[in-house]
Amino acid sequence: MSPVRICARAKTPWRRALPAGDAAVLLEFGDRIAEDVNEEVQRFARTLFKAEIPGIRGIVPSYASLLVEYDPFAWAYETLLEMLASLPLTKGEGPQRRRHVIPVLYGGDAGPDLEEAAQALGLPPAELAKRHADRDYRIYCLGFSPGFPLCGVLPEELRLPRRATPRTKVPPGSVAIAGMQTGIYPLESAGGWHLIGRTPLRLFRWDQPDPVPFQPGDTLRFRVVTKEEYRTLEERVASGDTILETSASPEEAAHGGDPRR
Amino acid sequence: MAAIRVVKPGLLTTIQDRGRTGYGHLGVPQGGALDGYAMRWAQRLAGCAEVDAVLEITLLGPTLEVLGDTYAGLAGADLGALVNGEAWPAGTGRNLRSKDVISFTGPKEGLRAYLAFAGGVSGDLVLGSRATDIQSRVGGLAGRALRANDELEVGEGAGSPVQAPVPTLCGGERVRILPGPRHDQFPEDALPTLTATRYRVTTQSDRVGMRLEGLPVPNAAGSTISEGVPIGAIEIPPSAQPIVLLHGRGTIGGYPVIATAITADLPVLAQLRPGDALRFELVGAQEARLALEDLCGVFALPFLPAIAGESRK
Repeated sequence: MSPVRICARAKTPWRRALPAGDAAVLLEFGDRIAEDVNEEVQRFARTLFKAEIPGIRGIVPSYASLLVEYDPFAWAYETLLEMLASLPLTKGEGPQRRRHVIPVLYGGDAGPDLEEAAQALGLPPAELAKRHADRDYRIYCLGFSPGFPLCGVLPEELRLPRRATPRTKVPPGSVAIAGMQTGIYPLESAGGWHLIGRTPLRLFRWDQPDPVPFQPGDTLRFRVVTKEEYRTLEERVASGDTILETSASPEEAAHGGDPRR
Repeated sequence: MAAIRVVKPGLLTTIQDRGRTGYGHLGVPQGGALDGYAMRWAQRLAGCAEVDAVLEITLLGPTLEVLGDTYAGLAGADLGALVNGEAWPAGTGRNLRSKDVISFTGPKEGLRAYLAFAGGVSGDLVLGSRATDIQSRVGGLAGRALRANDELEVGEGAGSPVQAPVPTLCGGERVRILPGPRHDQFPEDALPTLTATRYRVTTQSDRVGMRLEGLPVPNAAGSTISEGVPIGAIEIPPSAQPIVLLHGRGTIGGYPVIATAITADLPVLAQLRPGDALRFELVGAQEARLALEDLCGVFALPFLPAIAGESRK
């Protein structure tokens, strides 16, 4: 029995199409966390958004694949795949890539796992914070919970398996690491990552037409702040200030290079 | 405008609709009614539109006071609904008069009942939906379950009592599945294991997912990269005990998906209580298709005439 129908045509943008039930298909573009694979995923996501296809309920791009959720009364699986394969791919790099600087208070109540994580990695806590903040990360996708930027990749020396027992409540703004990934919990949620710090920024706004200030392909960089600066920033956020430091990052868009450099 | 006052909230009564679609790329869960079939019947019986919000009532129902005359439909689980102390069977629509009291004696069959009112229930419209997302605390009434003394606006209405032509509760223990996107990463005996014996729904189940307990399913080889997971996905975590994802699920998951429940059987899953058993049955795409056509085809059937028992003032 081989229920997986592999799309073998020469010219599909995806490598394999995997049925994900009777109302979704998972398009696989690769099998690794890498910028070039993710660029293909995001390009096809832009293609789909631009096409505004009726009967498509959800488009969930992730690291190396893209889930298309569809209305099974509007589309039969084969027809859908044929239509998707026939879409002219969006040209160019997409929207201007940007670089966002995220102020982070590491350790203490803001990062309750910093000490334990540092110990497990054989580093002083301040050194873990410094190494985490001292580099650019690519946002590969948004998801798991609303607006959560899944970023990578962490340098080898900062990689830890997830916590054995996930927390039922992670405070909003928590900056966390797990495996090759780092990210920010924009809203309170459950979570199994190691919480090493917190940002005062509000990174998901339900009342905005664009609830998330960044998008996949953008670069995140964390900046170590003191308790005093954190408090000042927190007050500014409370008063309605948008304090995300954002700049164009043309070198990132043009380079498409290895974020591990 | 009529209104509903919450006298007692019940175990978990929330405002739901079809959910938030179109924001999956931002990580926003679809959410919405877990049993879309029962919700649609409640809406139809109440004369609502498909986009109107309803109440999703879980196991132990609320006590509600009606303020103003309206018309309502009840569908899904039989949680022992009463109006002024007289039975109100699921699968019927009826008039409600000002000062009427809706209450529930206790669950008889199923887990979730849907109560729809003419014109829909008021609620916060967030990203195109009034559905309550308890995790993210948005939608519905302040993003939370109903509490005593909450008041919800509903439309006014009046009409003849009606009855659905078919049962509005999808009962039973059979859940049909299709092989999932990652089934080929599992050992050969994994899918046969999943379908060999019954699984029990544990108390660690909610609107996000149902954690099951039963025969351990051999795990997938190697590591998986986090990827988009559909509603109905059956994940196998390291514990080897399956998790079935429901409408509240996060968009991206890290456990490999061995199988997915067919759309037509999502209402069956939504009605299983903790402690209930379920049995997975592997089917093909064609059967999934026919099952869905059958399930939705009944909406073309006309209502049955009034049933006896509705008290009239």
